[in-house]
Amino acid sequence: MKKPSSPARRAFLSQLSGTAGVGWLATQWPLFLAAAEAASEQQARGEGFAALGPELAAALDAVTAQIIPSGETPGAREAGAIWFIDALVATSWGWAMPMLEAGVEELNRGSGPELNFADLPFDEQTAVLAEMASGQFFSILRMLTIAGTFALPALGGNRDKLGWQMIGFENRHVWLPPFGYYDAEWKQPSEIGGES
Amino acid sequence: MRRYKPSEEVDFVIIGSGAAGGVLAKELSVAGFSVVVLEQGLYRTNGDFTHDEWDVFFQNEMTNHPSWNDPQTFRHSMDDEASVAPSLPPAIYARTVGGSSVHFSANFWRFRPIDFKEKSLLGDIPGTGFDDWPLTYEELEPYYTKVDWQIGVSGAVGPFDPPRSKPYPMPPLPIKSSGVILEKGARALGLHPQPAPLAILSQPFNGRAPCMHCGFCMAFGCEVGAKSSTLVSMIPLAEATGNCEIRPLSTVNRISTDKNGRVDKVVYMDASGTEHAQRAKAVIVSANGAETPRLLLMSESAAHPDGLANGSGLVGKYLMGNAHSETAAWFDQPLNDYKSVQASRIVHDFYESDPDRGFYGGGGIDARSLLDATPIMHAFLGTPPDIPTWGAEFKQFVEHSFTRKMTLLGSATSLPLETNNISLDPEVKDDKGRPALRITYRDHDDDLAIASFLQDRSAEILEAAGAERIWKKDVVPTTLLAHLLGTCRMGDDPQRSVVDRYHRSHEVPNLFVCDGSNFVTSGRGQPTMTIQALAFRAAEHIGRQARAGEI
Repeated sequence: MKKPSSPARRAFLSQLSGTAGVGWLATQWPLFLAAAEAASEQQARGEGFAALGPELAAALDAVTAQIIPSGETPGAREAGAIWFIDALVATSWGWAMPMLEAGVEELNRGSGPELNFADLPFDEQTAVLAEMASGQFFSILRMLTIAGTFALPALGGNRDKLGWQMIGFENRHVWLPPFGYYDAEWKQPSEIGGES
Repeated sequence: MRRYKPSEEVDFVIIGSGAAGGVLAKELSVAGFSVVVLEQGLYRTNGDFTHDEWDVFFQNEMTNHPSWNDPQTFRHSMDDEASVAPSLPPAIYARTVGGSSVHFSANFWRFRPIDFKEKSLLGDIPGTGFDDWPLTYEELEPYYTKVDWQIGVSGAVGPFDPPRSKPYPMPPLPIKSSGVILEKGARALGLHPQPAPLAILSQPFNGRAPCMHCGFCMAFGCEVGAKSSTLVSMIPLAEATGNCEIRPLSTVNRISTDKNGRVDKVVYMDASGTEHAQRAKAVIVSANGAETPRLLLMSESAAHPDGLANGSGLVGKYLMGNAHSETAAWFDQPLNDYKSVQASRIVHDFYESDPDRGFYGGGGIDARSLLDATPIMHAFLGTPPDIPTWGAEFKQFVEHSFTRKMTLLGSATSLPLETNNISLDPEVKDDKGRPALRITYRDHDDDLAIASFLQDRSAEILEAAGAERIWKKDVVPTTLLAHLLGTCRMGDDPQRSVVDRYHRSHEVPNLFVCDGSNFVTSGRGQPTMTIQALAFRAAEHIGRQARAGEI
């Protein structure tokens, strides 16, 4: 539906085009992929983690990539959710280590005698994880994956603000109206007083 | 800031620095009284507030006890055994100077005349403690006006508003897309949406900066001080008198009485758990509707075997949390409801109870972003039941929906029931050996009925406004109370109330209680403005009594 564009609405639309929408993110995808590959090589060498060993990290990273998978746009893996988890376990969540280890052990048992969970093809990982989806390990990992993807980057995850770019969030301290599409084109009915 | 020694007998110790305690501290210290405010939380200031969702929502940074583990237990019925709540405390409030006025969303509705005399108007509701207040709207109106002008409230008069003696000091905050949708949908149905009154500055006011629309209001502290918490509106004025000490990290264990049955000392622990006793001529408990009764019950003694000020047996009883319903909706264009204040428009057409509905209750609807406004909470809580909770489809929904969603919140009455209460848990203790706060609560069927009623109206509004998808979140008995009301009710009859109409305990002459616990009925879901109007009124009476030597 084509509507005449008010100054407020134009201001809103230009604000929108200035932000990183999902479309923009898709075009940048190869760059992120390259960065993520470099990070995962580093990870495979067991470098950089403060608390997680390489095997534990690989398994948990694979879980995060199941919960918010990579696709046309980056997922939890590219956003570095695993680094958020590592930083947390290295600090205030040290208590969680035995629970994480036990969960990964269960994942590996479910993955059969030959391969660890992290080494399974994606769809087989999905099936193994689905078996555990009602348990505590999964619900905590779901929470940590979401937090690691969308929390303040200073906490270790949400690298390059990828999580925020995915959903169209900008962490600003100041916004000005109009805030969205509908208020940009809104006119206060005359029968109730105007507002500033 | 003035400092007092615990051995120094001050005129007033106020327990709690929140919505009520902050007002009382300012009013009494400006009136020349010596005041010590004991606050269990940290003394955070604007620069300490962040956009850190992980800290606020998942580490309970502002709601946990700052120095030790202080669990709460919950049960729906007095026949059940209460258990420790797994994540959020069931009686949730902020432990920080300024209390929950720091982290609330600042919806600021006045009560209306009917709220104070509903029993006379509607008749008794058997099986409940439904009653009239010992005061009227007309008596409280000048103090609502004080709140408007001293705390700082933005708004515009709506069609159903109660009479007011002075206009709002500031115009409303700008409308958001969610407010426009409520306007459109509600008007299409013949309803009367109006700008939301908020304790958030829309303009510079009293030397404070206005709202910058960052969007981190609900559960967060305001980094520019535009949210009118007592931290920024009252406490600085109290400290500037040179009569008032705010003593943070001070957790009260008991209020002690002398041989004449008067309170003489407030015993509290500092951050390390070391006990101190502050001497006082009078004590005002403003610790909120959960911690106030807990403290009075913990202050039992030979002279007060059932707890201090509990001759009626009603300390802790009649807990009311305000029933509510949530209706989420998604639209085809971006709303960006994560920006700016929570609510910009409300509908008050269903405020009054209507016997034709077949149940007691009334409430309001507001358009807002609610708890899943911010990114983590959006992904964590914001997906309707037909969307998987993980995997590609989940991700796609999370990506697409963040900017396009909103919620209509129905906020409603709760009936006062003796079986809904705060008590001391007989088994569970905190790290310092104090009995845990035990919450027993199940919404009355009428509370759930009005919440569902408001949800049905909300869904109609959203549909009329052209929502692409509507999710009516199940209305179920609540397990989380952010409004803590009714547990030390006011009244003229010492057998049926804990404090008199001026907040003085019926049985201990120099003990006052002033906070949400004094509510006789629940109002329609936004209690803070009334808590603060009561506090301004209480301060005036308490000050007068003190000067006359009547305390």
